Amino acid sequence: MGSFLGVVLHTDLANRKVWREELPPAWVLKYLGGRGINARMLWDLAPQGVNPLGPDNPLIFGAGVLTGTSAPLSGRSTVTTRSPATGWYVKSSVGGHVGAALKFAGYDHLVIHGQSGKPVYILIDDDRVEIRSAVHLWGRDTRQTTMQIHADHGPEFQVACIGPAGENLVKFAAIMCNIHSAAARAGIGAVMGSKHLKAIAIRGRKPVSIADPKRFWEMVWEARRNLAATPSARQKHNFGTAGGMLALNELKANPTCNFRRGYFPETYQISGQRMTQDHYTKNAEACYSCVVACKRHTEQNTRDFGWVSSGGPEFEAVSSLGAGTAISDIETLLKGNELCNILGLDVISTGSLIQWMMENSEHGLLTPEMKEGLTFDWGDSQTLVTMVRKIAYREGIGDVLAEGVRHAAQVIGGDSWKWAIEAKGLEQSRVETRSAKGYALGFAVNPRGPDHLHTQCMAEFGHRPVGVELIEKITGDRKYANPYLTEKRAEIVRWHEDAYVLDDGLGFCSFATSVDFSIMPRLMAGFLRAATGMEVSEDETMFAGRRVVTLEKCFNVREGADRSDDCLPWRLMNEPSPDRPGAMNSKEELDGMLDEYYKAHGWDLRTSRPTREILKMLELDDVAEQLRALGRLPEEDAQ
Amino acid sequence: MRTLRIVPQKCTGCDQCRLVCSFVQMGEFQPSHAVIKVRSFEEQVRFSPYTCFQCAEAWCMKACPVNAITIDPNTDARVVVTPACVGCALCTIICPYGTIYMNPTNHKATKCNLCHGAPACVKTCPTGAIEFVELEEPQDWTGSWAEENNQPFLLALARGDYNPEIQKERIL
Repeated sequence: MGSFLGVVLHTDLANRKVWREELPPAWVLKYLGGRGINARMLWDLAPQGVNPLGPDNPLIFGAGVLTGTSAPLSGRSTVTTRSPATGWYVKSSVGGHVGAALKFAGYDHLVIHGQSGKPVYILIDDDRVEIRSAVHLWGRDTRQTTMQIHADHGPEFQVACIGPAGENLVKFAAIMCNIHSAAARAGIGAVMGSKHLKAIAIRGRKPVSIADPKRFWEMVWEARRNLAATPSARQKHNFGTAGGMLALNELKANPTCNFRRGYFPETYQISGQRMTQDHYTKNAEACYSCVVACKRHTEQNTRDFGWVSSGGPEFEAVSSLGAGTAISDIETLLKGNELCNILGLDVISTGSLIQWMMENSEHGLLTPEMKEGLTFDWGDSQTLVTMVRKIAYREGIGDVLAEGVRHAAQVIGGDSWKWAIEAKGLEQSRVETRSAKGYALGFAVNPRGPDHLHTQCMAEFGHRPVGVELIEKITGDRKYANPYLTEKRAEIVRWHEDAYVLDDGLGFCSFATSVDFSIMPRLMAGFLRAATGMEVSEDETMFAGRRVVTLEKCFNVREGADRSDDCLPWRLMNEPSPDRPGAMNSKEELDGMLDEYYKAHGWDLRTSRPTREILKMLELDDVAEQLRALGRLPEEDAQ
Repeated sequence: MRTLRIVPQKCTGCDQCRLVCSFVQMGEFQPSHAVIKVRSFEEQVRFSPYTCFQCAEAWCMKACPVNAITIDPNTDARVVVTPACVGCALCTIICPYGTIYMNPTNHKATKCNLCHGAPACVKTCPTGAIEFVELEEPQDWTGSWAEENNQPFLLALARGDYNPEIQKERIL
């Protein structure tokens, strides 16, 4: 099956068992590999109502079907589980080199069952798979852990590990791959910590083959030519993802001070351009096989924090730790970002909690006991750097914040819940959705919570000809390439949902499909055919994408989700954006878009749940049956 | 002659060079089979590819007891004549740069042969960290070290003055 190996590696940490499962090629056609097969396995393996931090919650890694080949930008992987922060489905995307190592070792997926009583790490060296004691690693940060594993086993081993935050079950702990690449959001690091699994180290020396090499290399060079002609790819290489912040700021769509404003006057100080021009950026780095290299490596002998060296900071980091907290000192952000990486924290949520506390302080909600000597003033570096550590180690008020902003708001009290920028229990990522209505819809329906890695519909900004053409293709009229409009957002979001599954399933970076559309579904389907030899059309791949999106929704439905869970943070739904009069994600407006979205999917409008008929059409009959037995199919279907 | 030149500060660690090289070598993707390697420095902060620079001394060629390494007349590359190789691995011992390897599958020596004049790594590298450049003279990588440190054997080799009697004297 070419670059799809058809092998899942299972490990049970309770009884130390290791076994392999064969996956038929039909699974790739049905679920598109990577994220899609992860979703199916989560549905099958996690019992309804599973405790996210208990032994029965599986932690599932999936490399893409194209991962381990020279298809450009194909090195991404997915981590899937039930979130301890939200209780909902979470799939997390990560780059680095770990997914490629898994493929070279001979596996498409790795499933981790159970819990170990004592700290362990999994060592995968082709056919040799060992569950080894990690007592000597527990307590160490992600850099120390990775270096120790390299010293013990060799530098060719790719390492995914948790830091103290994951060990301490912080609800937004991350899994760090190659030290600086984060698999984060919704506390997947805490799931790994609950299993006492400190690290996974993988070395692979087996080949990954291609079914139709001639066709494959034609696709590779077509994709390479497309990428070379993509303006934003060059910008990302030169300035990183934080190079887009200046433009966003001009559009008044740069969330500042806990989403109170969309404009940050000192944006240049924390931009990718500044980091390059003043030599904070030492190196452009790439995920496996990527020809763009948007990642940064920054180093500086800083004024206040000594030598700081880390991957990033990327866009979300400078936005969340910087513009969001009104901190414009780049060295503070370098340090904050480094701490998030080595302690293993989701940078979006970490910054979100800290800026929320700054707003709490402004409203007089914080007592001196809570502050413990920190000012929590907007723009205060000391507060930021100290709180990142206190959250990771659950010290003082850090113990409350480590539970996530929804829970913390109940503890802090007052009106703090109104400016807790979360929905579904997940802190929102850095998009001003009051000025980007397609994003607003995508964020509201994202099964894991309000962020951009379910449907990043950049095309709606209308700033690239390719994007405008795409909007015209989807909606029939290029006038809809306008982020302030609510019309046609349902169609736009749905196209992107399907394309994203294809993208994630094959292992491609979301930038390939969302930024300048240099690798469109047509080309992706071509890669899938050439790499695996499977006969599949572009339409069939998009249909499979629809199936996976619906299955992910069904996971949440099985856990009791309904329409009321598809919403946005209170502030964005109730307070207009000060930079654009009247711009708000009002309930009325959101309801209009949701109605269209559910209708387009064929889901029940009242509950948002997929109907038996739709599930049958998608060949998910067994899923429908389980939901029916639980009484979770829309009322007309319940028997 | 044209040979490969590395510009390390441009390397992003993407591994495209190893991927395509392994595909040229064996028709599949497995980076450990590539004859170009990527080394990471400072805990995966900086990266650099490295491979045979087709050096003037051609240590591997001189060490080979069965003349299985020759110079390709089209490219001037030092190439392994695989059927002639007996797998003694002397070439891998003598190469001071560690850029000739034993292929684990067939136990023969393997090294960069410049892909017969169209090096795949150069074509695929997205940043130009690997260049295919024309040189006025073949690279003499020993430089002045051998002279400065009184190494007559190395100097003789560098001059192409290979005399097994000199080698015997030094060993005995």
